[in-house]
Amino acid sequence: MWWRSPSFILDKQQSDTVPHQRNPRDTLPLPSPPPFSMADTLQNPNPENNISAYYQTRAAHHAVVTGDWLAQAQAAIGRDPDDSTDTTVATVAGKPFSVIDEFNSWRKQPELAEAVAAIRALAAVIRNCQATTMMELEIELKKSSDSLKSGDTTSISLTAGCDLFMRYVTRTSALEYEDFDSAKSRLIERAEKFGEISCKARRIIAMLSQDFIFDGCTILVHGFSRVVFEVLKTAAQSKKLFRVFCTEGRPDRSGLRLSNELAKLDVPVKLLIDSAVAYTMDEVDMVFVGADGVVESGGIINMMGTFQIALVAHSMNKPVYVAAESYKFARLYPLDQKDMVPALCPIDFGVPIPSKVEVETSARDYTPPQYLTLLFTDLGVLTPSVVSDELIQLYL
Amino acid sequence: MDARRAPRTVSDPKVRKVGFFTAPPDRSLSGPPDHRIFSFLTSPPPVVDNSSPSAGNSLSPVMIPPPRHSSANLSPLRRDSAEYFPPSASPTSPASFSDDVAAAAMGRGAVAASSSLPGGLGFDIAALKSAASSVPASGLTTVSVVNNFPIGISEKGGGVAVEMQNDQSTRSKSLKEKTTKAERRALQEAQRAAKAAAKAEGVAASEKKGGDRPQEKDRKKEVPQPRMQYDDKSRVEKAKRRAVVKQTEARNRVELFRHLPQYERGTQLPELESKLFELDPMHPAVYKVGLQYLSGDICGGNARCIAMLQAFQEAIKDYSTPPEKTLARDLTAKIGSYVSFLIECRPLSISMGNAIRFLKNRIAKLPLSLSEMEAKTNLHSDIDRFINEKIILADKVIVKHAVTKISDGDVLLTYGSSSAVEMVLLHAHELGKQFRVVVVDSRPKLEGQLLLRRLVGKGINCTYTHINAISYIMHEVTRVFLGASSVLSNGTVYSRVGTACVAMVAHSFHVPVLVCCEAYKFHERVQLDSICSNELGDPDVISQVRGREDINFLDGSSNSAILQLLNLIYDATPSDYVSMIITDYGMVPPTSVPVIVREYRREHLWI
Amino acid sequence: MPGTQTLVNELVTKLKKRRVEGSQETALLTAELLRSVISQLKVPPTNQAETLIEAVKTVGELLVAANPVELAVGNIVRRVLHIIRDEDFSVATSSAGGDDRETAEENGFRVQTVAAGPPSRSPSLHAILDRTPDSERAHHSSRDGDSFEGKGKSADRNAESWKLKHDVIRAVNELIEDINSCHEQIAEQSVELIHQNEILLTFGRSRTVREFLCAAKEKRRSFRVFVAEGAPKYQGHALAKDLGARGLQTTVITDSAVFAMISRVNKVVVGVHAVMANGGVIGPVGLNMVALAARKHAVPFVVVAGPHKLCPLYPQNPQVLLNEMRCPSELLQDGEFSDCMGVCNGSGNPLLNVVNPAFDYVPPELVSLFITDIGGYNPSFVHRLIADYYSADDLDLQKRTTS
Repeated sequence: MWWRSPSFILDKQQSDTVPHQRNPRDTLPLPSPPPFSMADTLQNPNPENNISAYYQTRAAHHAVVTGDWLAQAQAAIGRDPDDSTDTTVATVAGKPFSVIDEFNSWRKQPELAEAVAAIRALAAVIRNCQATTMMELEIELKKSSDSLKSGDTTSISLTAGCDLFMRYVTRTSALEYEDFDSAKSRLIERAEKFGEISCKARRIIAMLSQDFIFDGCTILVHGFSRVVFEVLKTAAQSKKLFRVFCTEGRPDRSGLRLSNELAKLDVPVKLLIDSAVAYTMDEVDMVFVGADGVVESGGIINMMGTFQIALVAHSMNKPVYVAAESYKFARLYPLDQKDMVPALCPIDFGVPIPSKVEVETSARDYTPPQYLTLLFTDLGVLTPSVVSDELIQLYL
Repeated sequence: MDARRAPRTVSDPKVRKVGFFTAPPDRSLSGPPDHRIFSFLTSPPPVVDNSSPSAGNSLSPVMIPPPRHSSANLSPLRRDSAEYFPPSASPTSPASFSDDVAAAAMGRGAVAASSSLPGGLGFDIAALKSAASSVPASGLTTVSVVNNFPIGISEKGGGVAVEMQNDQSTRSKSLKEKTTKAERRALQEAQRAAKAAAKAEGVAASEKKGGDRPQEKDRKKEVPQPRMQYDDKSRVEKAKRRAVVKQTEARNRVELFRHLPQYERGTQLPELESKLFELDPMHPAVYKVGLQYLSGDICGGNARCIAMLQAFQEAIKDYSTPPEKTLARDLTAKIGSYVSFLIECRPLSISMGNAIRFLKNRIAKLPLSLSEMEAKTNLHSDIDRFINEKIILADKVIVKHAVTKISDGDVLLTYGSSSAVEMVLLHAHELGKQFRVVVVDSRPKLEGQLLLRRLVGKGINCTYTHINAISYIMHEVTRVFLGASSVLSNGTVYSRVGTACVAMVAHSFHVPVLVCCEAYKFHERVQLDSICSNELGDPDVISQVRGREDINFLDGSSNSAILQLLNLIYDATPSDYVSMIITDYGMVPPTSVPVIVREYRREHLWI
Repeated sequence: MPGTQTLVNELVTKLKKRRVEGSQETALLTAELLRSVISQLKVPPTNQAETLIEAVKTVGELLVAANPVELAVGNIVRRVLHIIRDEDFSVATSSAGGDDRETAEENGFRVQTVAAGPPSRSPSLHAILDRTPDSERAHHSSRDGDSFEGKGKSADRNAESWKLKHDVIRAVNELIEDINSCHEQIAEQSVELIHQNEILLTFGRSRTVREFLCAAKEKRRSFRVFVAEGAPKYQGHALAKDLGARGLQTTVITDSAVFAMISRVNKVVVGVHAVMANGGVIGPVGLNMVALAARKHAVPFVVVAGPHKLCPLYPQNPQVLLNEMRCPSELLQDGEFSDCMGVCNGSGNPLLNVVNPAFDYVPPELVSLFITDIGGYNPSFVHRLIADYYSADDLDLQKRTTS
């Protein structure tokens, strides 16, 4: 019997212990999952603390049922001194500094990307650091970024953001010519500008992609991605005539949110259930998806269902465009779907699921590069093979 | 049987039943066709057909084969070896006819005539042989048949003898290697006795049993012969000696196509015309058709086939049996010589080969009791029936099926000029469907222009383009309709050169490809690419582009040794590009072609 | 500069009337025109690079607008722009190198960009944190020029300005030389690709292909070539004649027989109109069909292309946007269908349309190999070549002209 095999039992033990290891480090109680899923998760074999932190933020930022859910989440984190609207770093200065606190407070801003939050958190580390030499600062930063990364192993852009900043600190030649204080201030200034860079990256991507959206085309999008939304918004603002098919984007149903937003912009939208992708692919001219992370092979890791859509699109000769900021490029090389740290998320089936039934709760999949046509990044329009070039230049 | 077939398919294109089911104990004559197709899907166990409410018909299709057939099933191997390695087949065979040794070994007049065919272009030989071998078959018998007699008779009653008749020719060939003349004589006597018995059982029995079992034998017998390979020097020489038309071989033959005939163009016609009145053996009607083939006045599978059959009709009308010869054999020989003449004019199409095979079968199956006059009228009406049912009626059925696949707003693409597709388009237009047609054309024939003119004349909205623009135009196309010269049993569509390109591009754009092809054009041969069998057209037409006098680069240097021109006529479209084949049997996937070929073969042999 | 103006107008008219055909000829004409524009341009003492770039861009816009589907024009304009930027950069660094390295904050910025590579290089992940949110980056090279000017170091700048122009003209000359000689370098590689007793297929007419095949022939390789005639221009006939004259075993086939013959072909070697940044190619109409057939039979599809064919743009809907319609009379003879041409159906649309596109797009998946003057490359590597040849700042050349 396969479930009695040693490897299976081992896996199971590990997956049981992982949350326990992680919980103590999370000083903030994380927002609890949406109330409607409570009843089911009780019956589901997956305990709710198994849900990846990454997907909790994501849910908070993207889900449709933001109102009451956030209120409840707010109540749950009542002892948090930071309000989510409060963005100043200084408020935490009184407490013993924790990079994870810092990061968590940053990432509550819905418009802020994870990588930006990570880099800002690291900037705060620099600010609070008592180091006197560049070397010490680097060591301190390394420690903080490691703890940030281990705090949420599932978030690719967090890891990539940390790596990028560390790379900047260790590599940028300008720093060598300056004294320590000016170097430090330069770093802090750069880190703070990074938020703008990230917003600008979205604008660049939106601009680049305009050439590819032609009048009368039909675009299929999957889930909610800020970049993709920016792309579509820009296209709508420049008076292009196009039609969007939104997938529902189960389990967090982020596609619903995108369709709401697009409807506000008067873009014709059609909502599809996730399983209707192949059925409608005939009418679709191009597929636009965002990415949680762009990996070294040029493939992407994105919300569950992206791989499926890319497969269908590929077999029907439809282009698949990925919109992703370049700070999502990560030094990962998954070989297949199981070769990643799984990010788990709750799934609401609407009906009670018997506890004997296992539920696949992975929230994302890996799409190999051969199914992608082009990547729109702030570095320009790239073919998947360029991603590795860029990463090699940065890290080797 | 065939008389019922076509109209029935018109009325209800039924979904075939697949899987095992027990036949009702008394299936009547009007049993739906699907049963029969089914029975061939599971054909290794001999299924008794439903064509008559005779005693044996209550058998289930899954019954265990009687032992008699296991011996029959063993035979093809040996028989094949006899056919494929002719020289070793029979020590008594006249050396000169080694290409048709099995038939020649029988030493019959009709066979000699058939083997005098220079063409050897596959099926026609096969057709001849099937005809030829079934004629003299009655004079031979084999041990195995005799031995199995009691077993067979217990089940089948009177039908056995007739089956045996079809059976024996294959077996006799395989046995011939071992038996001495004396033994064969004995076998012949035995078979004559058997045949007499069969006659006593009545013609009705032979009719009703024939449908099924003999078909299986025929199938084995008719494994297509290797075609004449024109790079085989000795055989080409032999063929030349027999030829009516003297062809000069092209000086610079394309290396890859050495196995195909490559003749100088334009040399035959004047010579043939001058011979018009000297050619004694050739009937003028046949002669005329031959010339029309040669000059290209008649082209297109159906047109050529109908013209040929009508010429044969004329020839048969004027035919009288010479003294001391029987009609069946002499007429077969006659037809054989006509066919070889036609081949010299232009290689036969597969559809024509099938028609010839049909005709020879009919001649062979003429009851001996008929007078010459009756036999001739019989054949005349048979040919009429073939033209009407297999071509004209079949087209109507195809049109009826195909039209259901055209809906308003469709953009239909067609390539070249196919008569079936044209009928489909016109009929859909008559029904008031709103659609647009893209006519794709290619050099050198530019047949599409003729189609375009006819369609525009009828008021259909058309777009005309050439084959290179196919990737450009395919974006807007919703259906591709193609005609076919033949559909081979691996699903390959053998058609006008360029069809494969169109189908390939359509496939890559996920546009469904529908091939309209009458079932009489199906053939059991298989072909992997377009090189192994093809027809080469006049190379000179390539060098000049009609209406484009500015393109004259190749004018002076036409066909030097170093610079050659190749004008292929056909190509083979792999079956994976074809979504659907529309035939008079309904709409079938290309994978079902072998089923139809088998089904159809039986039917047309016993029409 | 009236002299250049007439030259420009001349070429624009030629391009508009499609009197120049073939990407090589167009590329050469464009490069020569730009060279004379640069040489006749009076360079002010300040802002030389900017002035040159502006001048080239204005001419380039006109030329590109004259024939937007002739991508070679845009390619050469971008190449020349890139050359100017490159030369400007090397002049600037040679002057900036040395004592004034650590002088000012402004220079600190400059040193950084030096470390990050030439200023015109496309943005990279590496420099992402250095990127300022404003769009000033694109102009910093000129700003540097100003700052130097402001510091009163203009003494040697006059010499430098002359030097810059001189260097640019020299580099453009090299470019012209490259375009002229690319055939030879490509042809040299033929022995590695064509072997004894092989059968090759080519499509339409391309000088590069002709030289490529003949070079292999000269190396005593005996092989056979099938030439598809390439309707509607039927240039395959001309190519076949050329090849025949050079003693190659040549067979002309119709376009429709490509699929039938491809199963016996060992390699497909074609010339193209342009190579796009994603590795796709724009070629004579019908090329996609050939590529598909080659893919079906796993026959390598080799594209030979000179440097002027590399286009830094990504194709979007190339079958429509990068295409043009040729005259219908190439398909239907004059007068033959004249009675049908005028006929309209109920809604006023003509009953008969004739479609005669000039170009075809082959996606990168169908291309096996590119043979360029600097070696053989995979389609996925084309973007690298393009990054070497063009500046990211110049990519929007065409956009400006179309808007």
